Amino acid sequence: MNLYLAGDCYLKQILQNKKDDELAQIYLLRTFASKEPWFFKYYTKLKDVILDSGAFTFMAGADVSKIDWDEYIERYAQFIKETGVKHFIELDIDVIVGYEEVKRLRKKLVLLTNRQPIPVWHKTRGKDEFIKMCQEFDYVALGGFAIKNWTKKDFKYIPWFIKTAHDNKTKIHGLGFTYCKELKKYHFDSVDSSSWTIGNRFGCVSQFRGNGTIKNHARPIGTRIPNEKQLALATHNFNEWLKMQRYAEEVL
Amino acid sequence: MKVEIKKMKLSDLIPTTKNPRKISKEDLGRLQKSVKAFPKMLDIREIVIDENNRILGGHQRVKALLANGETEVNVKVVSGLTEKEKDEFMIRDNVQNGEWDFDSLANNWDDLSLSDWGVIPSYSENAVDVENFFAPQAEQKNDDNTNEVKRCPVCGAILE
Repeated sequence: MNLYLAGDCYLKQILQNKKDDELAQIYLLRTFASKEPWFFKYYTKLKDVILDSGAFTFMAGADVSKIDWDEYIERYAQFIKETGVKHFIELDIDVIVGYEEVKRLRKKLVLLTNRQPIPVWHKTRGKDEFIKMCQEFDYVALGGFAIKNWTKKDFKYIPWFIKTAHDNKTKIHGLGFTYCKELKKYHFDSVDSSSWTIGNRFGCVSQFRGNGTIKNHARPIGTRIPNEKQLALATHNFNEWLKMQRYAEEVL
Repeated sequence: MKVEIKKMKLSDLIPTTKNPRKISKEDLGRLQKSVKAFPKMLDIREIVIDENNRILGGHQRVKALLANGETEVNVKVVSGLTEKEKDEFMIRDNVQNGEWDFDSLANNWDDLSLSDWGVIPSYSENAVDVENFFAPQAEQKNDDNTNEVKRCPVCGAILE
């Protein structure tokens, strides 16, 4: 299983301090909305990058009714071509424009890039649509984990999705599937997590445990993270999650 | 061919000079724990030796037992094999046919035990010096709002 690290917390500095052979082992998930020029070179230096459309980030604070999604998808396609990113996620904005429009935009993205995006299944698309997605695409994603659309009770259905994808020779990504302990149970081909970034915001020090879990040590009472330690903490947590990434790749 | 099961002194067993298997220090440590935790395993699966007390199967377990300070073990003495057959046994005995079904293991077995048993590899981990990243709050009163109650974004628990 490939674990892609998402989110940002001193990422630029952390990556700058890595050697090329270290970078060549890293999996990251980035979003198109934050298309930072400094990150361009990493699309080819890292082991792999999944690019998320960033549509929801883009919508934040904007007048949604005025967004020209055709123009957005054209810019997204151009970016995909310029960076050469191998894996990119469709605009899964079903709740905004409806699934029919999502499919039209997806088709346009395929035509503009001449490649398949990763479609994201949401509950509203229904079971049959998931089967259809698996038949049509080489890589699909399950969405809704980050926004808690999946309760723990629903998790019992995850094996069906994974099996259906694999029966169709399709890879499956758990989008925002940050449940570290559950990774051994659900054999996604890939997942992403931004949990490495919470240390700086909430004062925890991550520790990779040899059995493939991450323990977060809370900051001692009465202490804080001084400014000069922020980068060191972010780097430490990132590196511990890289160990988890390696473990996932080799064991899970 | 004759087969006999008996208890023997570990010091009387002779390792083969051309043992085709080796074991890392970490794996030996795990095996030491394993034979100590479940000694019945050695009664069920004996060390296999020939009529000259030469070990044909179970070198690593013998190493682990010796490292644990044990002195005796159950052995299966196999007499009448040709040298070629003994060689063949040593290789065939160690060939792993089939593979772990990790879906089944993850869903039906306790993964903590599986790590202990050596099925799921356990990777090395470093201790972390938590205090290294923090300073007393009084030192930087003007910094941001770390005195506020912090909640884990995943589970909502108060982090302190």
